[in-house]
Amino acid sequence: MGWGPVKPPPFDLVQPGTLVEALVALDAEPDAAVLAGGQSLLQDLRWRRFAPPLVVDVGGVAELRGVTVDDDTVRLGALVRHVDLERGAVPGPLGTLLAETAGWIAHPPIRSRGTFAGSLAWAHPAAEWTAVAAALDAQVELASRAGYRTLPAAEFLHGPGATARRPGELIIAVTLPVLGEGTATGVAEHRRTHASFAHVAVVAAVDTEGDEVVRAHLGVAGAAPTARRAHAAEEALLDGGGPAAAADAVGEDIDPVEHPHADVDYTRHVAAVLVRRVLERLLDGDREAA
Amino acid sequence: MTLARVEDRRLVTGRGRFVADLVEPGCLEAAFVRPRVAHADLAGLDVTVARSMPGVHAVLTADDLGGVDDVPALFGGDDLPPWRPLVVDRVRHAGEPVACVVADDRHRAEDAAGAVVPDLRELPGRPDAATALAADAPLYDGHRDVVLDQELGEPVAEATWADAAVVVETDLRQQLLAPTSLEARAILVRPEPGGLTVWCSHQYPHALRDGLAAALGLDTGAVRVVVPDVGGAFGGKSPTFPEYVVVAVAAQRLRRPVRWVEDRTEALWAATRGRGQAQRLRMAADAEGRITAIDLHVDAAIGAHPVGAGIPVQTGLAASGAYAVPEVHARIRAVLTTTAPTFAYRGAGRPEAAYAVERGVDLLARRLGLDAVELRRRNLVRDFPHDTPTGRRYDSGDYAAALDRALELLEPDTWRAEQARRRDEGGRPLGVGVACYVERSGGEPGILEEYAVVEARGDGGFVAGVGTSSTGQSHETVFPALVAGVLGVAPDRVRLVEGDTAAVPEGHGSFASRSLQMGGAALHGAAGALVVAARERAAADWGVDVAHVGWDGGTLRSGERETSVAALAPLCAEHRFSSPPAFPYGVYGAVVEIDPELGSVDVLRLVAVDDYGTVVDHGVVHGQTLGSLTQGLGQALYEDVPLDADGVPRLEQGLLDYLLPTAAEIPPLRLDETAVPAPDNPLGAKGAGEAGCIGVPPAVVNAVADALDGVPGADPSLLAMPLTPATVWNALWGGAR
Ligand SMILES: Cc1cc2nc3c(=O)[nH]c(=O)nc-3n(C[C@H](O)[C@H](O)[C@H](O)COP(=O)(O)OP(=O)(O)OC[C@H]3O[C@@H](n4cnc5c(N)ncnc54)[C@H](O)[C@@H]3O)c2cc1C
Repeated sequence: MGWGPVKPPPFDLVQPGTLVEALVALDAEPDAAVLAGGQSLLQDLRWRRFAPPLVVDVGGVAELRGVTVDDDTVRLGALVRHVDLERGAVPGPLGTLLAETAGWIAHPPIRSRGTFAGSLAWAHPAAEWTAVAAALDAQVELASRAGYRTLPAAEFLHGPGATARRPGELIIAVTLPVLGEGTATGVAEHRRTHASFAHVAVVAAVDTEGDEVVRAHLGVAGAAPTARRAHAAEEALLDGGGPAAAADAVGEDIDPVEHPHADVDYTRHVAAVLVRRVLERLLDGDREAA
Repeated sequence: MTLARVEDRRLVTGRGRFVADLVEPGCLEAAFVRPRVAHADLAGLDVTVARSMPGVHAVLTADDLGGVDDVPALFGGDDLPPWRPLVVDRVRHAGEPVACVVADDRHRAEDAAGAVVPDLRELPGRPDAATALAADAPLYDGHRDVVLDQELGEPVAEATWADAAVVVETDLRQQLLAPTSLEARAILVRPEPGGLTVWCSHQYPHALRDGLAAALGLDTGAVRVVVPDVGGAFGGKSPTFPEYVVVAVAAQRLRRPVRWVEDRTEALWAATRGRGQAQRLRMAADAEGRITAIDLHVDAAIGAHPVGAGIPVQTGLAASGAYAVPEVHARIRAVLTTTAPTFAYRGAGRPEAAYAVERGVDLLARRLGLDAVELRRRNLVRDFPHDTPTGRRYDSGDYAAALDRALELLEPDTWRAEQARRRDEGGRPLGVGVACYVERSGGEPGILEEYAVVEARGDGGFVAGVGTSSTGQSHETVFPALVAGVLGVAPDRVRLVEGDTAAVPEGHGSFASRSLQMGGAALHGAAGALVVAARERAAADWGVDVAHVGWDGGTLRSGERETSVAALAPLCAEHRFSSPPAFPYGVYGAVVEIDPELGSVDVLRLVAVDDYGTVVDHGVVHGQTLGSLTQGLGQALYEDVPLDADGVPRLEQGLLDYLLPTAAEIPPLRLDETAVPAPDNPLGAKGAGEAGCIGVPPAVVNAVADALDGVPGADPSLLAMPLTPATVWNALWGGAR
């Protein structure tokens, strides 16, 4: 055997063709890792962050594919990729938000493999999808041999790399609420190079009646151990405070950690600026790039 | 002239042959055990489990290397601490190898490396020169931490400071950079009876040959070093690294070929760094804006092994910049720190000097209320050769012409008008920055020579051998064409041989922008010598005076007589070229816009006017400018090896944490060249490899400082590279938020 560019620790690989086979395999090995798009798992294995004895490649499980849209919800199968959403797999304002958000993730080769569900499972604190999930109270559907359960994003996402997923569980889908035809959506992100991870990302979906904000969803990634819904900022908006008040209030929603290249104060400031900018864009039609 | 690159078809179709691609029967793979502590006593090392693991052939530790000599020092100071190939009793930088596992494949080698258990007792680290200078015990018992303390030029007279109209003083920081070639280090060693064949991704094969021979106690003739395709080097691939010695020992002991291919994580942790200086600059000028004195004090963090201790001296040598300054003085200290060794990185000491001087010129201009470009113009060197107070002799140039051309491309007046408008009416802060540089190419005494040989073959072809060694500089394209030009034959009749110590007996490799200047000149000389030798041979054969034998594209004629040079084969001619160094120069300009809320810097225009002497191939030189200016942008805006308090890199996510500029980061460019020939070079050529790394950082930082100038409360002195958004934001608010 020769030298290969990828040097993971030894593991067994199974490639189930059905959901049941996948769940059986996961049940048999509590330390198994699920392989979806592989854009984070392979890197972790290569770095030997952990050494799962078994890798369960769910890429061939038909039940995990596809987007299902009904009146109130959009259900993203666990194999729905960033690129599917970027290319408009979901209709309406929710689809617009997902497409805009996808465009901020990494670069095209990674978007063509990485999955929405995998991103939530990996739970990077600055991952764009976690901000969407938090903002919209996404419902994470988990399955195991023992049965099914559904958790809202706020309960599923715990901290950097940590979630409520139990051994043997597979995310089979993530469900998002359909947004009304009049919902305005947007993303504001700050990062250092075009290909780098977000420093802070803010997603917003806002409904107005006249000048009044009647519904608001704000999610912030990169400013706490995991993405959060910005309840205080939403409150300020619903109280009629406008973008500036929401920006002031978002400080209560976040809890940044120090970065080698950004201290906590700066990150707090960035989150506030992004909240203000994205809301100005949505509410005032101010199209200044955020 | 721009030739299509001969090597591109091979390289871009995946048919390049790098060390990792070599197929060597029975080859084993090595992995190193690299504790992630900056400074610790190694109280024990348990390799029993690792040795028993499947597929493992050897686990080498310092105990196994008793008969092996120290890693050879490239820098010859006295009182240097020994550099053992594997840690004996103390880890002195994160990632320093304590053991080497050799196994059937890299996976198994890493499995076993993970099973080696070092017993480490952590000690406080010294991440930078200041901490190291304050430490109470030396890093190596019985050796000084300051391994070099050198003064260049005479100290500036007190009266000069006292009489000056303005004196500026500032502290500047050169962050640590990771050279980050696409291919990291790699070596494959095959034992031979009584010796070794070594394939290595290297810049200086003859030095590696000598270094390995010395460490292993072999004759240099017993070691053959071959350099296959190399995926970039940028200065980080010239030394004989400890890993190379260990792999060679493993191959000898196991009597099997052994390969080590450094991965990105290892490279980011343990390969050499560039820059890493704390600078204190003092500059004086008279009321007319004539610079009267420069004093530059550098404390260089050279890491745990002083292999690169000579690099910061370059900074002192270059401390005059592009200016005629009567008094220039530099004091350079190289200080041992608990970080990976600091070594050459594209520019190697010159970017550090240009940054200091060019930041200083802008500070002087501000204090004098003079336009910074005008101040530069008043001080540019105009007469050549020009001897600087720190010991350089600038060879040739028209520095003012480069400045003029750069201003045409930069259009500062237009931007200044826009800047004024924004300052009045509001808008994102905009800044314009300029930087001049003079650098040195070719090398230093000892390597200011190169060897070449050109041979005429019986088949009508020619073989050109030279002691340089391409790491991506288009030698296969340029050198045969150059030789063919002298011989008057088609380039495809000339085959280049380099990067093989068995094929080319001597050489100094490729760094210091020396390939064309030194190697090209040597080839030029050897080709000319071959023509002379052929004419002499024909003259002797024909019994005529050599003056009556003509050469025309490989055909020799005298009167009615005619013969092809192929008929005279084997015929070859050598040439050893030597010369003083050359001094390329140029002027860079940048226009930047700042997001005042986030601190992000957007470069709206980047101008480079470089003078590389006579340009032989414009396409190649253009590529060098693009590559080096992109790395210059990397230093200015993105790249940095952040360290914890002990010196452990904070790069857990690899290249997601160490941000390199990509194509998307390249700003709108306006590039041009001037071409004043190098007087000491038969081709008129100066080196062209490093300019952008030197010119871009001061131009960009000056532009950002200029933008901040118009913001009430902003404090440009808080700017430090890389200009991260957080840094710029902090400076925007004068550190007050
Ligand atoms: C260079 C680079 C840049 C990147 N930049 C960004 C960026 O800017 N923003 C961003 O958000 N992401 C970024 N990513 C991460 C990328 O989006 C990943 O695709 C994503 O985080 C994981 O999705 P995946 O499908 O590839 O999951 P995988 O890599 O296959 O898996 C990731 C983890 O999730 C688990 N997992 C995956 N699917 C499931 C499931 N259905 N049920 C249970 N567990 C599961 C795996 O076991 C593993 O632990 C980047 C990645 C790279 C390599």
